[in-house]
Amino acid sequence: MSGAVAAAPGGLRHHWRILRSAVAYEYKKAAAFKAGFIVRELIHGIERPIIMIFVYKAIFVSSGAAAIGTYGEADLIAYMLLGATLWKLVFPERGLDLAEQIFEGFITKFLIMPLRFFLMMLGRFVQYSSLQLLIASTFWLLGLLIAPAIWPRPVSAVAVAQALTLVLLGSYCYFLLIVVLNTMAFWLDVVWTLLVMVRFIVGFCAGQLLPLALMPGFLKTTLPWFFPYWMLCAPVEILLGRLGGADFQRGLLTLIAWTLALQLLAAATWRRGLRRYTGVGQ
Amino acid sequence: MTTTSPLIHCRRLGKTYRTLRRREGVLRLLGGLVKREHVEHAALVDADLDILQGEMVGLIGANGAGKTTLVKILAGIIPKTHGTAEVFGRDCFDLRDAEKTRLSLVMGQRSQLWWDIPPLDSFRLLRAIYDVDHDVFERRVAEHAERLGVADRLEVQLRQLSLGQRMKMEIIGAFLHDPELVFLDEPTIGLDLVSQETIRRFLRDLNRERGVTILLTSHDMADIEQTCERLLILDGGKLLFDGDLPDLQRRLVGKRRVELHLEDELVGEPTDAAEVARKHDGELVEVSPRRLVFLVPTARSQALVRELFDLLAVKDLSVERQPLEDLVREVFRRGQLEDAP
Amino acid sequence: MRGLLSTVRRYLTVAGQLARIGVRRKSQFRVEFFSQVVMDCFWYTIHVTVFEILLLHADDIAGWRHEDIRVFIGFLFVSDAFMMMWLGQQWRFGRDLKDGKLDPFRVRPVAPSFLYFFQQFSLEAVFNIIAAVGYLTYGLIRADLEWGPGRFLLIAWAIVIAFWARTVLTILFSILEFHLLNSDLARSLEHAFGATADRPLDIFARRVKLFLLHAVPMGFLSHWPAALVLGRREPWLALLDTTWMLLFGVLTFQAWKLSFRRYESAMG
Repeated sequence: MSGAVAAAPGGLRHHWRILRSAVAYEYKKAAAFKAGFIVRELIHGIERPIIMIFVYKAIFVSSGAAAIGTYGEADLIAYMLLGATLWKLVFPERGLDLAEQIFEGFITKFLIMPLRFFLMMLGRFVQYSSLQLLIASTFWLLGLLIAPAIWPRPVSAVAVAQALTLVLLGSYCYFLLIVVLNTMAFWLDVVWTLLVMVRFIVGFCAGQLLPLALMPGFLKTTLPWFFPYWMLCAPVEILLGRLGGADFQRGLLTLIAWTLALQLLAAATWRRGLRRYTGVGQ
Repeated sequence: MTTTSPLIHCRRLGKTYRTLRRREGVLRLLGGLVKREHVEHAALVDADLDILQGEMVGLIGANGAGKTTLVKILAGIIPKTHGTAEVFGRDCFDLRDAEKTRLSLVMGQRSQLWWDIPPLDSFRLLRAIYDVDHDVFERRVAEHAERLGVADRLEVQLRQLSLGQRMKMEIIGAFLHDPELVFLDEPTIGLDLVSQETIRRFLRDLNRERGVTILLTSHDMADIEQTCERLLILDGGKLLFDGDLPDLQRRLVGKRRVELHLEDELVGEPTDAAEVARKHDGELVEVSPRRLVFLVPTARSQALVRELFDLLAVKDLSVERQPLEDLVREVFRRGQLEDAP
Repeated sequence: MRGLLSTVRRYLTVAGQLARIGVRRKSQFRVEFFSQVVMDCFWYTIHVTVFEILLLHADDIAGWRHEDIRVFIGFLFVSDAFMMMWLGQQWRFGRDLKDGKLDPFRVRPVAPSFLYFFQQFSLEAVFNIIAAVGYLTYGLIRADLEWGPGRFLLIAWAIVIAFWARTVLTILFSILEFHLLNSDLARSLEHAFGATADRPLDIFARRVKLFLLHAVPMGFLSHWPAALVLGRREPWLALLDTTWMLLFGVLTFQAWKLSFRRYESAMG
């Protein structure tokens, strides 16, 4: 048979090329508007932990106590500052516009292309994480320059590596959860409420405002089974030297298990959702 | 019904858009965060225009010609960059509620009604906004819906209506408060022939009965030809023509379309007929075995027909005015119009 | 005076029609309705939980005792419920502005800010109102206050000003979008400053507190109403605050009106 049938592009190199293009595309989108870029990428997400510092200071003044739970005042401030820094690495719940693309029928064009649509979303995650690594580092260095007396320093370089591993893996879990919720757009009229709901829960479980040590006993035993705790609270405590290598290993295993489960769930909801996709928008 | 009161007055009206120049490459992209380059694009250049009360004016132009920009300036949505633009004797961009109550706007590609509720509910909101008396409102909705053939669709969600029905609802909404001036930006885009004709008739009737001044933009020449007495042609932001259809034909040295149906089938190329057409400054534009179509200057059409009758066995003949579409194409091709001789 | 009354009547009629449209819309989308109700339940629960956990470790936060905090949270919920009911459109403002979707609002004979921001009446926020008023009532009952007509008057006063402040702040933040297109500034600043309204302002230094009461008056959403009802704010000071807030609102509306002149629609 001599008929020349064009070979479908595939293989790792092809996927890598697409991912690279998707990341470049996402960077261009992010930088399209100067003010938007600065506000969205630099300022976003640090306000609540910073305000909690004032709350904790007020509590220490009111109670006159030297410690709340196992935390002294300086420790709590350090926790909040590092928490604010690391939270910048966590993928935002509104970071994908997949649901909107499904509602409006915009994904049709990708479905007829020789690519996995997931790579386009992954491009967004890679772009966000790489940029935020730079921003979080800058934020931490600026803090160190402006307020060296109170600004927290990690206990070791190993702790930094462990903490970053956990945060990025945890953020990937959150990203997958966001993908799953976005694919609900195949079935539901509205998904933003689900995303906001999940943000409330994840923020709370991650210890964004309250470290696990301050929570009641049943939460202390339950939350370590879920990925948000290992995404923020545990990495901050590793940086502060409150958790060690064994905790890191437990966290890594927990996050890997969650990653696998969420990856399978995302693939399943995407595949099932596509069967319901009509390709039309408003 | 045309009176002499001017409703729209523009002198040397211009609009320039400023857009960001996109740059390639990561370094240049990041550099763009610090220093940006802009490109200016003139969407409208020195337009002079007066529209009187009761006129129906058609605005024609290709995509990007500046039609929508002109409509948006006149409706007070965007400011002009320079020149004068007045509606009801007041700067378009500074219209007060009193003037806004006297105008209306329909955008063919952008719905102004609520997507997921029945149009009647949207109309009730418009009634509150424009403070229309209850009985008058009920009467107008019924009357307009009847005329447009959508009386039975008023309580169906907008999203469940066909494109044509949706546009008719938009038009009802625009006329509920009995405006004196209505801007319609491509109201028949994508509609079937019946819906187009219904909308054109509705606009003609409202103009005749109530003296509503209408400025209509469209890509469909039939819209303009069948509804408007006056024609504006925009190209590249410049107003190339302002006048009526006969005037356009006169200034373009209008042509006639001559169509011959032959007794016998042609054998070979009709070179003789083409030669005759050339002799009269015309051209043979279509050839089929028993049919020939010529375009020829109006003044030479009679002579051409006479010679063709001598040359060919003609069974039937029709001589028609050149379609508006051809005239507009001719204007765009020339880029400008010389004054009539 | 007659002109003013007729304008007020017209605006109320428009608001009534917008509410009618909102009810009609939401009654068609049950999933949207229930998911928003559930989302709000989570928000209330987590908010109360954070305070309850904090108060496990201290008797008060910056002088606000447990019973005071409940009143504070009640007002926060009430002003938030008002926003959820009437001002949900604010989340789309940046995008609508960028996409040139504000055209119709320029040609209507009603204040564009009113027509734009109040266009999405949310039926499910009736639940928010019920939950918020319920929690506020619970907080007030537990606050050990002396009850009389004056107290009810104070509560009404506090609620009206909280609603007014919520509207004014929404308009205030959106002004920035006109000047820095697609910056998401309105939403980002609303988030940033919104976080300050989640806690009593007494946790901050005096200057910050004054800033949050008079320059970017987030304090009027929860702190000030609670302080007024709990007797933590002198009546004559409260009168001055109210006058300032009303004036601030009028200035904000004028600034928005001026900024709307920068609107460029979408090119075409």
